Amino acid sequence: MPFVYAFASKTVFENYTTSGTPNTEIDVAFLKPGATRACNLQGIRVQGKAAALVTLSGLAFRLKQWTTTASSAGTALAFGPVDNRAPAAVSTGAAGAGGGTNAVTSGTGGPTIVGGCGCGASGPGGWVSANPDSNIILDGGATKSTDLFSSSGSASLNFEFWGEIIE
Amino acid sequence: MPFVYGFHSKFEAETYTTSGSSNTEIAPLGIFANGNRVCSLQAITVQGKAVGLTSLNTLTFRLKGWTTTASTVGSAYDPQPMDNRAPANVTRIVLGTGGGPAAVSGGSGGPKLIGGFGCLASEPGGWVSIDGDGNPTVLAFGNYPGIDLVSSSGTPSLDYEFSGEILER
Repeated sequence: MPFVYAFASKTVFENYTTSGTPNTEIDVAFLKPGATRACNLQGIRVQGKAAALVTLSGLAFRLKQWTTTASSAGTALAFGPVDNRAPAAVSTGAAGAGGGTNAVTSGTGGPTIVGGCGCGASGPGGWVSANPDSNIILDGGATKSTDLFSSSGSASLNFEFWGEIIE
Repeated sequence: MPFVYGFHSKFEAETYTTSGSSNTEIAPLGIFANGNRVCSLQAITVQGKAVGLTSLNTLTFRLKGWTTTASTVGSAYDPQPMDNRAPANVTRIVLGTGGGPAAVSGGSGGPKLIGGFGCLASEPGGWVSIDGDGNPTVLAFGNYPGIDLVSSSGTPSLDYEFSGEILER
């Protein structure tokens, strides 16, 4: 039976924000496999957090893999097992320290775009793997990372995110 | 075969409300195991209930697993079987008494953030477990003794209601 772990931006900070420059990417967060188990991303959920916005705007999110070295820095994300009988997660990850427009330090190599999703500035959105074969996978011990990038046509939109990995 | 039970905020009140302070959490719902089956949350739906709102606003919801004791203070209810042939539930819920910004309490240890989702102030939203392995699980002894649903919004005092499904096996 696989072990499923959830992560949430709230474990680092209340709000993340897209760039102050329209259509400019920020490398918000990354996931990196541990030495002993593969890290399978099976879902990301995002939520635009506009307050009292009077026009419609959208946020886009992209999933990319750095293929030579993994991203680093930021503040560590906490991985909570959905069934607390599971052992501790071996995957690690981080999000930009202090929230807002802060980013992690991007890895190197590629990056390869492996997925994406979006949401309205005050609405929900996300991506869920169509089936287990379609999970975004990094093998155990790989010195690579899967990163979440944000972008929006309107500058500085707030959001938060949650996700699930399988090990 | 698992047994599936539903619950609704309307068990207790017509409307629940996010905090009167921006980005401040309130737990309107606690789920806990009252017997020795494996009890899993498999879905939550929410609906923003704004009336006459003239700007776009957001509610976020988070699922938190308590690691020592469950939230049991509030108004207690039994989730109802989806198939009426099912035996009595062992999972129970508590709801903030009287609705509005009322909260449940009593949880301790952790909590660990184990999920989240959101909705617009006048729109639906929710979360469904990707598969059975992804169900947040509560057990009467050890594991997570309880899971809370926590609300938050950047704009204070937004109305909503919610419902959910629990699987026991």
